[in-house]
Amino acid sequence: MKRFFIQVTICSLLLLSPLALVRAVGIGIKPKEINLKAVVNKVTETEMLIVNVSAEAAMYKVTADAFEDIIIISPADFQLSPSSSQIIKIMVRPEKRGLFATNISAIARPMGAGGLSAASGVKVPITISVSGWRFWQLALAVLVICLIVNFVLKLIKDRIIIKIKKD
Amino acid sequence: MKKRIKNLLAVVMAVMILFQPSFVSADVSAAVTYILAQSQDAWTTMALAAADQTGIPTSHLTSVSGSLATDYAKAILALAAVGQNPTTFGNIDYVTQLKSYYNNNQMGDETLLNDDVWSILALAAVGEISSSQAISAKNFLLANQNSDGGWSYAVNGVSDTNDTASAIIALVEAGISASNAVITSAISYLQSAQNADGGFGWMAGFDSDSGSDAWVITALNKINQDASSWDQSGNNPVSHLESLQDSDGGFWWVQPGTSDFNNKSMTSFAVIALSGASYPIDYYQISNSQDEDPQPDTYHLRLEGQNNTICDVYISADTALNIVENGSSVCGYTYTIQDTAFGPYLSAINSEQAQGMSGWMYFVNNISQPVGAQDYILNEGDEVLWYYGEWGWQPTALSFSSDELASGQNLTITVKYFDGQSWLPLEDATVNGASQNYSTDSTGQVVVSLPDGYYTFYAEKQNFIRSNSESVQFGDGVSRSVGLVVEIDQAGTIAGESIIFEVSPSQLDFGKIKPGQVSSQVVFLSNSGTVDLALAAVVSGDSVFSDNISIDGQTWADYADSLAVNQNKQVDVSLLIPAGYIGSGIKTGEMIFWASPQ
Repeated sequence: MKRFFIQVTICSLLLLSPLALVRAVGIGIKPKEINLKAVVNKVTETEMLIVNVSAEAAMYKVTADAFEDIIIISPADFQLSPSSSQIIKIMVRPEKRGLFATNISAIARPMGAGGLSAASGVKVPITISVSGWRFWQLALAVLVICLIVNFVLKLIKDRIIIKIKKD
Repeated sequence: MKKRIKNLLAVVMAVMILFQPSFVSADVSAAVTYILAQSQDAWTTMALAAADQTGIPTSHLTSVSGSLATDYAKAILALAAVGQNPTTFGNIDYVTQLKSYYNNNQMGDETLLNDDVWSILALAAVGEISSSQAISAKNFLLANQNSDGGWSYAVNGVSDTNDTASAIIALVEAGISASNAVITSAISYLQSAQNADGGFGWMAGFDSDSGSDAWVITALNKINQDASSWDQSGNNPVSHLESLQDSDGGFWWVQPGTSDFNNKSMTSFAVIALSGASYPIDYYQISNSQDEDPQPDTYHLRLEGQNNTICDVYISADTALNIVENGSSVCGYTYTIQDTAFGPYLSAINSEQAQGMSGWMYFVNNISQPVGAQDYILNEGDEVLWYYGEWGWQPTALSFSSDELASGQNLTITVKYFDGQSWLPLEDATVNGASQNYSTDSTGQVVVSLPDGYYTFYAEKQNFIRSNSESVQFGDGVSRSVGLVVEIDQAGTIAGESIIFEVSPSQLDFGKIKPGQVSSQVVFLSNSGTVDLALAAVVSGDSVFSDNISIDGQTWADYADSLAVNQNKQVDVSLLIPAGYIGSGIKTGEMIFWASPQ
């Protein structure tokens, strides 16, 4: 209970002070959207810049809204002092062809834990266009290779027969 | 029987004494494993150094991505911690760059204090604590101590534990005695902010977290106080910090289960604190000479790739080939040396593979040597230059009329090439710098005039080797260090428009309200980016918030709005406690305002 009153008193003082009125959390992100072209089972990488645009230190968390199994973000958690920045690596390793669309969500949270905090979040749309061989394409490729090998072998065989006949 | 018990006790005590250090360091050891598995930055480097690790990765320190004084200060501290020279390790001289943030008798932004703290520590790390920059920063900090003994990150801000702890470390480093009233009053502030669980929060009254624990312990390490003696009902900062360590070695921000947003990003700070270290972790003494003064037995290595300078460092080595191998761990490149009938042959650096007439050639002191690189034994003062190109290309050099100019003064840049005997003017060379290209005249010169700032230039010309990079300061050199837009542009590598979204205030207090009552707060939202934003909100945490918060008269789930470029908006956030609500006490939660590009 004592702690409750201390906390309420401190929060009230903070809110009454001129600085408390300007305490803020902000986030700057570049680019505003991400369009990636990827290939099945290959890693494609891009970067995102996150800047603490407010005048107070804050904690940042960056996550993918979906496809967490193919989108890797590093670092995903970090602290930024006022006006400082962090470059995030976004790596994608898709396992199937298709078009994947989701958001990269970045949240700036104030450093203090407890009470009701107001956080600033930005969602950056990400679209991943994944290309690769379809099954019938693979099968066709194998068939073509087999035909070529067969043709070459036959050619060699014919030449050997001709040579033997000449001899 | 008694004798046996005595012997047994003696053995147990001996074992305890013998293994005490490993018991103490066991937590740090696990944390080191955790850190090594993470993306490396200046803090991880310092943490690994504080934990006495060897072979610490440093390639991430060859460049600084930010453009603030603190960005360079952190890099300097990290490099000094691992015994590397911050003036030569990176792509530019970090110490000179840091000093360029000297602005109106303080360092960096005049409204901030944290850049003064870290500038003091970084300059101390390289033996420059007596420089005018460090002394001014110290005086600025002293002038901005709050009446409660603490410091904020900003001028006139409310004291917080983290910045107070770091200010103590900086001021003690700058020569203020631990018994001085400045420090003792700061310590009193920290004591007043300690929680009953022994730990510290960001500010007095906030829940304890590992970051705040670590900063306070590190400050106490600086003044040789045992943090575990700061007892609160049997708890202390060290025990609280240790209680946050997870089984993988990382340190949770707050106790698991108390926050949906818990993470382990404070682990490096925790390792430094629990290692008994403080800042600077270590020192690197730089010569006062104007010229670069390498350590004995080190040689200059520069690797010029097809499109960029891959490495530019002083490093120890035996031969002109061996220096490439040694530079790899410092500059973070890969290389391939093949055994051929003519001896070892450097066939690739990174993906730049020798092919056709192009390959990796070397010069020592700008002269092509008649022996294989393996056979060239380095002598004192040797400068080794490897370049990817064709045989016969000649080295070039760029120099300035002055490396420090007054505002508005003209800078003459001279580019020359070495023909094997003498340096001659290089006409039509492209000089790159200040985001522009210039062309040299018949005398190899170009005259430029630039706004106040700090700029780096290098020269290129087809069939010549790229020149050295040099930095120059115009005026007080600080004009490029302000503002988000400048920072993003300086990053240079990420294209596209930017989203800049801010929410104020960051903490909402609805006061003490009874069931049936409503309390409102105003929240300001601002869009200072380059795209219009669509807004939504999510409230989580205690159900008193998630069930009863409304924004602008709608439930938070229905809230949707837009925010045009350069628009500010205020929204009313109301909390209605239902008349039949049963419960009391402080509730915690979070309201996220989400912004998406329209």
